[in-house]
Amino acid sequence: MKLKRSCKILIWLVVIGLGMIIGSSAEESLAVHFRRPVAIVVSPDGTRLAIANQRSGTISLVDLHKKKVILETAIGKRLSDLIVTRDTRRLLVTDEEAHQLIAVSFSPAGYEVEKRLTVSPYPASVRINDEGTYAFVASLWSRTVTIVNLNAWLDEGDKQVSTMKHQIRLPFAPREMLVLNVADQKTKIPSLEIPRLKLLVADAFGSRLAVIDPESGQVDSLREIPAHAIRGLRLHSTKSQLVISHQVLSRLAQSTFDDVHWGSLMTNVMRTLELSDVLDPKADLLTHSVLQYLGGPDRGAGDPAGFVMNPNGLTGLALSGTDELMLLDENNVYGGRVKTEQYPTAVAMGTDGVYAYVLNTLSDSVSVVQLAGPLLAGTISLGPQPDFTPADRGERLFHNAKLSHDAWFSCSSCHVQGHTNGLLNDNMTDGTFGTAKRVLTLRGVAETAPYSWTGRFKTLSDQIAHSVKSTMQGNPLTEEETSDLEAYMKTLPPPPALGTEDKLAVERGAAVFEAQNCRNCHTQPLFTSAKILDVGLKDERGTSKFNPPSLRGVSQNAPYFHDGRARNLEAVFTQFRHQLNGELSSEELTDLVAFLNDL
Amino acid sequence: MGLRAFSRLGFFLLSLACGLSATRCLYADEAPVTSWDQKEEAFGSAADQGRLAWAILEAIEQHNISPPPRKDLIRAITRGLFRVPKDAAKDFPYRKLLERVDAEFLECQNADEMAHAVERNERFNLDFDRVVADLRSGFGENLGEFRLIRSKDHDVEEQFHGNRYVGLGINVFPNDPSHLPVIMKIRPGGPADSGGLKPKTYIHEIDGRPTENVPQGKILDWIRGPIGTDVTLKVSTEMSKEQRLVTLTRGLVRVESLKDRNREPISRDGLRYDRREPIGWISVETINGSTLHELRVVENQAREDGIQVLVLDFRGFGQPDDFHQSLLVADSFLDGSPIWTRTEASTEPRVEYADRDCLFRDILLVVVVDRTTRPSLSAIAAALQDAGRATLVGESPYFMGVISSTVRLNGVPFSLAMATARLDRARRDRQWPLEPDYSVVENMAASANQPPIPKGFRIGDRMILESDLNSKSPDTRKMRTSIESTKSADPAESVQDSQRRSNTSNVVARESSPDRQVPIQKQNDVVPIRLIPPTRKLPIEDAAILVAMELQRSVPPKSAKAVSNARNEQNKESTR
Repeated sequence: MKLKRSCKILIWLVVIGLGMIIGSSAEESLAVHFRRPVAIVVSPDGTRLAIANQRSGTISLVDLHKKKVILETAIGKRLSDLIVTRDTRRLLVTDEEAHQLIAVSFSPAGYEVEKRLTVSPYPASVRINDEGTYAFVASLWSRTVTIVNLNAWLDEGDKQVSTMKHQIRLPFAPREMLVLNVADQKTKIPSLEIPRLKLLVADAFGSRLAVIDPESGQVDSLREIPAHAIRGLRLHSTKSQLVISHQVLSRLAQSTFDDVHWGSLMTNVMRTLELSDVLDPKADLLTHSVLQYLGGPDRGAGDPAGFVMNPNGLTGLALSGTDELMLLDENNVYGGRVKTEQYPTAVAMGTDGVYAYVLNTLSDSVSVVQLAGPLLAGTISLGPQPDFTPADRGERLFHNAKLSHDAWFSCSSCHVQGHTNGLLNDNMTDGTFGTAKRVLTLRGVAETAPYSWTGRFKTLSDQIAHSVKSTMQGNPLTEEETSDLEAYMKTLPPPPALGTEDKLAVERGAAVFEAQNCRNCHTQPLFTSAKILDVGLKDERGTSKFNPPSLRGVSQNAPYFHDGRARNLEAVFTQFRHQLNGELSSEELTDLVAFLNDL
Repeated sequence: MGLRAFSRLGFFLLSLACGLSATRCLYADEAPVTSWDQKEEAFGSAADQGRLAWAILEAIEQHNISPPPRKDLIRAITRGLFRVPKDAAKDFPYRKLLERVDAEFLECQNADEMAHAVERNERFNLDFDRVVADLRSGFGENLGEFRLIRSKDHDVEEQFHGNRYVGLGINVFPNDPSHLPVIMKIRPGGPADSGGLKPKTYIHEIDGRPTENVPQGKILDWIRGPIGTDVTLKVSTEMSKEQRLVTLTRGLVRVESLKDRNREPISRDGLRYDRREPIGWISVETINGSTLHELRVVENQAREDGIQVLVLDFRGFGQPDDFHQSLLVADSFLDGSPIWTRTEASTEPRVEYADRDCLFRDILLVVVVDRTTRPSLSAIAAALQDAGRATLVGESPYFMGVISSTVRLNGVPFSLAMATARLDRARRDRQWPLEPDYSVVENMAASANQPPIPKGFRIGDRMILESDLNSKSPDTRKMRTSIESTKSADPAESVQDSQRRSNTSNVVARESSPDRQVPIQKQNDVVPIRLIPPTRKLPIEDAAILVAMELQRSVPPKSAKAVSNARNEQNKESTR
């Protein structure tokens, strides 16, 4: 075992050690650009960090002894994740703009792309199993998990085996994943046939968890927990429990000062589930759920993100909204916070179990934190950033929980990645409490005035100022802050359509859309209008006039209507007969939904 | 029905006047907001009063669950205006007057017209106490807790609801022989504490205004104010008669809504009612913004402490509470089930559902209710009972499903508290008032010529005797010891409590004490009886503990699975 480990270290040294030679020349000449680092791994010997940069499409190599970047190589357009293969010879990287899984190896010239594999669009994360035989790629907007036969792809040894093992469609947009080895698990489940491997996949925006059987490509179970913004998944050191970092938005609480202050509206939590419940498709996930509430009145812990656990059970959790790393002991008892730089999202554990490396996504830097303590041991810059544009400043505000009272949450808590968590929130934007409304996506919001469900705000900046002051109970924004946030939101493109293979159905669906006069309210090209209309839906206080939401990317916005009463697009027409001027045949319905899925 | 609601209110006010239970010290900072007293502080011109009258009318029509017809409302208001006796309509001299009033007022369509109408009759002064009393007596059940309060008192009420009261952190005793307000208690860490004030301090002046013989409402008025503002007190103490000036800055005074069994702040080891039993006891003093947060902290403590059954004591008066927070607290106990059906003035009946997350998931709950249980807590108790989440012990609360809240009036600096919602129970086959699962029966009065009563009490249909307890397994014997140990250790049984006990009760107590050694008695011979001492409070507490013990015995031994990821960072991180 030890031998194997030292072998690995040796190979790693060969693979990336060369970086030092090149690095000595590279370190002085790091490009001035925004990196937006999103994923981090520690080399098996614990001396280096490899970091995937989203905005620059580069990989940075950090020497931990020198505490500096020794290399930065462009390998793609927009990177979203990276991991080391089990043989430690390669990095696997996802590119969410080129829609590729990239195998990267090392050469004297730096990182070198060895292979590119086109996967389902918008890959957001990649994992591998312990044996290193499979790579699992979660594709966000196309809602697909791709299982890649790594040996077949990389070594091309066995031509009989196809590279793609399975492409599994999910009813939600996946991001975080965790490979579960059932053999690890201490408690046995009688109802479970003994499979070796399972893949847990979490909803990027909302509250769903799926367990996938990689061998068969089947979805074992699809369940919901009261959660959104699931940003960390790990096995507890006991191997019998699953730990999840996420947020909880109460449907019943209101965006009043009191409900925000006392943590009734939004809570930031670490949830522990029994692994046996997770693996048993029939089990109720919540029967043994234990919640650890993070932060408290006067000091919120907005937007918990990635976390690590060292062998002693110490947890280092990134609080991406408050720019801190929070320490929790083996019982999840609070052990202190360390200030990091802006928007820490991912954490990697050093091989010694002493240091954690926190990736500050909006500062292009790594904070080195000694977990016991906890103490800030140093900060490593990934390279110089250019001057901030208003949109860049806006992006930093958007992810900053300090905009809310006591830093309980940020804009991105509900508008996860500028999209929506799909949940209901009872705020005063519609002028009344007791009328919880679905959180709207901010993607594509630039051109869809007026704003809010009731169309109450003529400009986006009015809506922003109101939301921060009222919904978030924060200090009023300055004019510059408001316009910066507006500038950032206007850079967000509409959610990409889920799409469909059947282009003919889309064409037929367009005809149905026309025949039903849908465009009267959902007018092209944005499939919305500035009107405020009564379409026969009422909220709890009798408000029935709403501004029609844009249908661009509508396939990504479920559930539908102001209170999310329609679970999917089909239900909009079958169950609620939304503005139909006659009967829809089942073919027409299928075509119309295909058309909407393609918008 | 109306009478019952009214008597409840009377009881409520009486209890407030009496300074609540003997065990509880009421901080000035906790004193509920009082109704507006027109005699203390007059409001505006005749026209202003007309506008106020109209605003009351409008608020009732908009927010009340079943508003009386406008005509009846205007008549009630004008009766107040002309101070017409209640059954005046029969009386000839008044009939003419009422006709005139009908002619002048019934056609009013807005605040201005009402203002003019009152102005035309300026020699009369609107008596709002009368208006309120008339409305209450006429439409009592539908109006709920009907009272008119000043906007600034409403602000204070909202501070209580959010547990963010702004004040000095003192308890003022109003009825001192010196006719001066006396500070009896100082809240640790509050502004008065930081300012070095000590208990038994006499207040002679507040911001230069003498306080002798000033009613307590006024004193509270002077003490309260915006956060960060100063208040200067001229004080003396019993020790040094010398008067001195102290300037304090009004600050946030947080009050825990959860207390331990003795109504003291919950300490780290204060959850168990008895160290030997995995049974915890929490007294819920009020439901406010921080209750949910406090429950989360207690949950961690309970789990860490291995609590298997938690008794939630919903009895007694506290600060005014907020129904919205009751909804959140009820939700926090329930796992996805319906909480209740709520109907408001402007809404259709709506079933409110709990989220799936739930506090105290593995812990069984016993809820103690009695006639002092307030509406918000009664509603929660009913929701827990309907969901099968808790076992209720005690007496039926008065709550009849009517929820009151305070509504700001339009254009005048007043608010009106009234019934704004009606609750139907989650279990449609159940009605109000809620019936405890184990009603602890008030026993017949003991008298000297009755035979000695064996020790025990009745829960529902079951009679529980000490002798029964003796005869069973070692578990139940433990039960008995526990009950006895709580009795002797119970500080709630204060001097006043024992003074309140009648002589006959004392006789019973003495006579029954030898029973402890008496051999087992057959159950058949038993009559329903009370436990000693025969105050109402103690049998309910003992019954609750007994029920908790029986529930606890049904709990299977803990599985090897370690559930305890206990304790809360909030304990350390934010102790407010």
